[in-house]
Amino acid sequence: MAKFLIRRFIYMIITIFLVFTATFFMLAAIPGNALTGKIAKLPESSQQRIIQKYGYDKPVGERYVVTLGNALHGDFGESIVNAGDTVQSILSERLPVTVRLNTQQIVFGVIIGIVLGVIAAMRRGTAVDYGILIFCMFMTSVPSLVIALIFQLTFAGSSGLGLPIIGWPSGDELWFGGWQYTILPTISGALFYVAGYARTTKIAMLDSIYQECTTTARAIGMSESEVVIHHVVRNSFIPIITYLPQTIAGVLSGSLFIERVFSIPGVGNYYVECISSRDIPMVLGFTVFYSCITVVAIFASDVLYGVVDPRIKITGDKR
Amino acid sequence: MSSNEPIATTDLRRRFELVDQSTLNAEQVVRKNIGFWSDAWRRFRQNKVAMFFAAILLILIVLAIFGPAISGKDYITINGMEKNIAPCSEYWFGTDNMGRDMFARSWVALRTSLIIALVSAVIQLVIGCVYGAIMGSVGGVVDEVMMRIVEVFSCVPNLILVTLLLVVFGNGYPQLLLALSISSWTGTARLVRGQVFKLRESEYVMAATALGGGRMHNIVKHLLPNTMGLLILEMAQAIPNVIFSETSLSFLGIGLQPPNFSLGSMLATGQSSMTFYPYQLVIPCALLALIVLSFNVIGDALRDALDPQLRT
Repeated sequence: MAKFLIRRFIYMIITIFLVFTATFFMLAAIPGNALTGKIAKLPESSQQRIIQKYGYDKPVGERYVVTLGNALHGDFGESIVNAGDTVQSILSERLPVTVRLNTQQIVFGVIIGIVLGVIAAMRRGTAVDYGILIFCMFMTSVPSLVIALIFQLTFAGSSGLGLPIIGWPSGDELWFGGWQYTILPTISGALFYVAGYARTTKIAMLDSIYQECTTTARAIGMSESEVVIHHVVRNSFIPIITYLPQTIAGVLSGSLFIERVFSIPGVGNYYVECISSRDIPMVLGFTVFYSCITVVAIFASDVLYGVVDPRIKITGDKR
Repeated sequence: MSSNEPIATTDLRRRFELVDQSTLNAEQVVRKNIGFWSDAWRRFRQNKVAMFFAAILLILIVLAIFGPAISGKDYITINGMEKNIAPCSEYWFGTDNMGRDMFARSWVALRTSLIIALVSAVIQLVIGCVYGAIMGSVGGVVDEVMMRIVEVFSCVPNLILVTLLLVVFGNGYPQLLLALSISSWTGTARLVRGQVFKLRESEYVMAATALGGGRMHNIVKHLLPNTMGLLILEMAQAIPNVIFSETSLSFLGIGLQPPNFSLGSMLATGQSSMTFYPYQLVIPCALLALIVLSFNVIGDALRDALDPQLRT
């Protein structure tokens, strides 16, 4: 187990390093960046000074070494467009928003999805099962972007439920409260995962319903709810857990446009602005940040996989 | 014939005539042979929901090709006098904030999204196949290194990778196609690699090699037919994914830039005017949902039809 963990950890570091390097050189290959547009109207001498200040006069190799050294200390440099912004300052300012949105999406998606999946599996072959099946088919097929827009059109504003069209709770309500703002973004981002989890849970449940331990549990006289909770649901956790890192990565990318649709001041929204304005240091920083989260999520799921299922023995040579 | 044969046998001999075995062909197959593809097609046809969505998809494709010509309106002409007209007999889908015919625009946008999806799906499939085949057939250190590269690619969230590539390449059709393909070939590569490995280990390929089948024979006779079904499924999955990424990017304003437009950019303009002119948002939304839904339903039906392991 320890050998496996160390090996995976080293791969993780290598992967992040490669992502950093690739991103750096790709960004360095762009002919112009935010700086060129910003200083275009200034006189020649001040142009030179500004370019020197940001270090863009040095050769690529030297810049790479300096940036890598700084990045190891968590410093990706200052934003070109919004002076004073660093990756840290933006993260401390906007990460709570994104984390809350994503957590709400995941919690909502996973819980509702598992409940729906359990219901579908218990009532298989009935109208309820088919209803859930059709709902899932529909939700996985309609892009969440479309769902978000339709929700905004139907439920927000003067029409419908009178929920706020855009915005996000701030100040005291940053972590808790201001629910009316969070309802639509959460649901529209999570519906895809509701469907995914419902399907996965249903299939896993049907697998474990027919296992011998379930029959034995019934035979020794356990009540139906005990059987379902202790044997069926528990045995179907493995596929559900392997689906989690995908969800985290997906929710992260999904928040790019969910945040845009509802004008939520989160990290995704800022990233899109950086991309549009070619704000090199910030793009580099946030790309590395996003891939770190994904890599860690994949790592965590590999470890969880071994913890949840005692039948799987993790050895050093597992690939 | 000996005389002390049992009564029953001689009785039978008297009543029945002996048949000459050589005139009969016991090995003959009476029922027509059903091949893999005709069987798959039969299964697919039996799926009524899938056939319904296949029909819808066909109609949408036909409209995407001929749609603009049906209304007889230009999709570029800006008409300042006729802005934001709700759907009526003159403008079937209404006009947008610049007075352009939404009917023609919708179908052109759909055409753009479809072409991007198709081309990008083909490109990523080709890249994935070649890469996976090399990984699988060379093996060893090369495989190890190439696998690491695949892992790096799959560790960056898809949309982030595409946006990053678009920043580097710039905006435009070829760049968008390239970015969308580069970010999503890893799945196919893994699949093909696994398939090649599986095939190398299998007994029938060993038998074919023992009987003198060369490498080309194995690829053409065993690898291709065995992988074709899976590749079709990959394709059916890739198309809606690409449509989805492309619309999201164009919605965010990172994908296609004006004057190019797709369903995604129509969604973005629709959102800005949704309170007053909801039809401008609803129409592209409906088209997008319908096209992705049909691709997904057809993909599911294809899976049922093509995957031998799912058969009951």
